[in-house]
Amino acid sequence: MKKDEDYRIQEILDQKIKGINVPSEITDTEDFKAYELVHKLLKKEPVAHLPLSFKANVLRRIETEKKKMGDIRFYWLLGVVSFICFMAIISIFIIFKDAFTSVWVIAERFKGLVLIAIAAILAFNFVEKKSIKI
Amino acid sequence: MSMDEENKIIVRIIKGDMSAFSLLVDKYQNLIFHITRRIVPEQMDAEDVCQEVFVKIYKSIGTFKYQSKLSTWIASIAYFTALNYLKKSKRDFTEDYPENLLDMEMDQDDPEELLIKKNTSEYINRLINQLPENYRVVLTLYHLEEFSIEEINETIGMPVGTVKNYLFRARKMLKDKITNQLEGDYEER
Repeated sequence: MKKDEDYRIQEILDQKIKGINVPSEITDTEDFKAYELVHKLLKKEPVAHLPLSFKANVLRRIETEKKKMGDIRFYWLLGVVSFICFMAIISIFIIFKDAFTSVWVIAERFKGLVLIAIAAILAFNFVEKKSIKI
Repeated sequence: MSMDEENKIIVRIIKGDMSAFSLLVDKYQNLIFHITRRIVPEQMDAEDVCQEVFVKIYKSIGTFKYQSKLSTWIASIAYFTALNYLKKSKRDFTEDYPENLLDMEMDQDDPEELLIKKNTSEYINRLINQLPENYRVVLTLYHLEEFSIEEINETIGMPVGTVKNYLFRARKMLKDKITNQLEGDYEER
């Protein structure tokens, strides 16, 4: 019985939210007034709210995300291009193997010199980086 | 903001217009915060979740189908993002809520609680925060954000009957508590 009355009151108040006024003798009861108070309090904005800087923070975060996405796309593209170039170079070496025979012969003869040259380049780079840090 | 204006803003956002997105943030930040705050109790955590919600909206606005209202779609993202956050942070208090909510005893009244009771608005907020999260969200969407039952159903995927039932039970519990409080005040005088 009590549950029915609660149900009726809630229905009347829900109708009221939609702008429909349902005249009823129930509106004078204590329960109705209590429900009315509950409805009023539930409609009240909570005290806690977002800080004023919230919008700026969101926009900044989205810019960062966009930059990150852009970087990821760039690195993927770089990876694909590098892979294609690498495959092309390998293919050229395989297809024109005979044409490169003389190059291999020279490289074989001067391999010591080639190794020294590579080591010199690496050492130069290393020293240069160190001197920049200092 | 009319539906037409909203649609124009969506198109501008898809084209990368940040000022259009800024308008969207202005309009929906309160809706998102109200939903999030009802699920995530800590203010700082709720703010983080709100930011995450906006990032998700920005990334997926191109998938918005215009079949529902934008507010429903946004509220849905906020609801599920907040729920996921709760699951991840393993702070889900609401798993074992009893079915008989109406008979449920709320926290005992300590001195602080008694003081809060003096301010009915704060008291009701405290009571709402003790409800299971689904009840809290349904109450917030229905009363504060003025969503219809059908819109709540679309937003959180809860059957219409369950939404109505949750509303009824939560409001009855709040009414009973408030009646007790008012009677207590009257007896004190």
